[in-house]
Amino acid sequence: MSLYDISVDDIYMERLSLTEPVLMVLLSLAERPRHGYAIIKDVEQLSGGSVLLSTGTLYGALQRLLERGWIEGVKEEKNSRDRRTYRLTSRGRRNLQREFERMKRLTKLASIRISRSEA
Amino acid sequence: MLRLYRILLHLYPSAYLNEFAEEMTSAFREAERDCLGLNLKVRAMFCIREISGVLSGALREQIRYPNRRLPMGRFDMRSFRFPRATIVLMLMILFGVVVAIERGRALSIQLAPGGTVPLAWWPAFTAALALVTGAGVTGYGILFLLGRAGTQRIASIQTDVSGDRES
Repeated sequence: MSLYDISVDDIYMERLSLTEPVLMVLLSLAERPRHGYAIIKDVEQLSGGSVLLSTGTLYGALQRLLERGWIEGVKEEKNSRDRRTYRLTSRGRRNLQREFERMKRLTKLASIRISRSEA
Repeated sequence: MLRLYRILLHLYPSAYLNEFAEEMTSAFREAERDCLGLNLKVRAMFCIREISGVLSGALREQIRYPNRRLPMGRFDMRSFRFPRATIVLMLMILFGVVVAIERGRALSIQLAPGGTVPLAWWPAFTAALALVTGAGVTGYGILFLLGRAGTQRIASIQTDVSGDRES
């Protein structure tokens, strides 16, 4: 088994550097659409306080995800001048799913190697 | 703090600001409000995190869009044109310096007729001047031709294979 046992679908998977903040933002939006500050709070809660996003980091990540079409922004009805709610697109959800499949394979591979070295 | 935040936001490219400035300020305001009741250490960490986040974010965006310039206020040189009179003045000064050096050399030969005659400096000076000018003109020519060919625009085209596949 290798980490690079890839399927045809994986070949077409979009390459986006999924740093921890980006991954956490995607995870936050996977549950339900959220606006900027709600994402910051949710990521803080999700990570148990270990990932504290600044607004600069958050909006940098949101911009990259918007450009790639992984998320989309929707203007809120009230106070729409300065607030947008972000939600995961079907493309974003599919790519996030693939990323977790890849991580699962990595975890499996890591556990095999660790147990082999212990034996 | 909000004031400083707004000032720092101006380091971002203008297109980015049009899209996100209001939202970022709104999110920052909410985060700052939540921080008010907390202890000094947490507030200090919040300030450091936000400032470093904005600075690194602005730097990243400026690097991503190198054709957009940093807002330099009154130091912005976009409208600056090098005046022709300055070139004439600089040439006159150069001529004056060359004449002074030549006079000094003649004097040194006159005062010490038996001594060693200093080597003529102007061939080396002319060669160096020609070399620098040639390098400058060549560099400018290459940049000009690249600009005309639109090479940098070609480099910035994004090829999104999977995007085509999905649409």
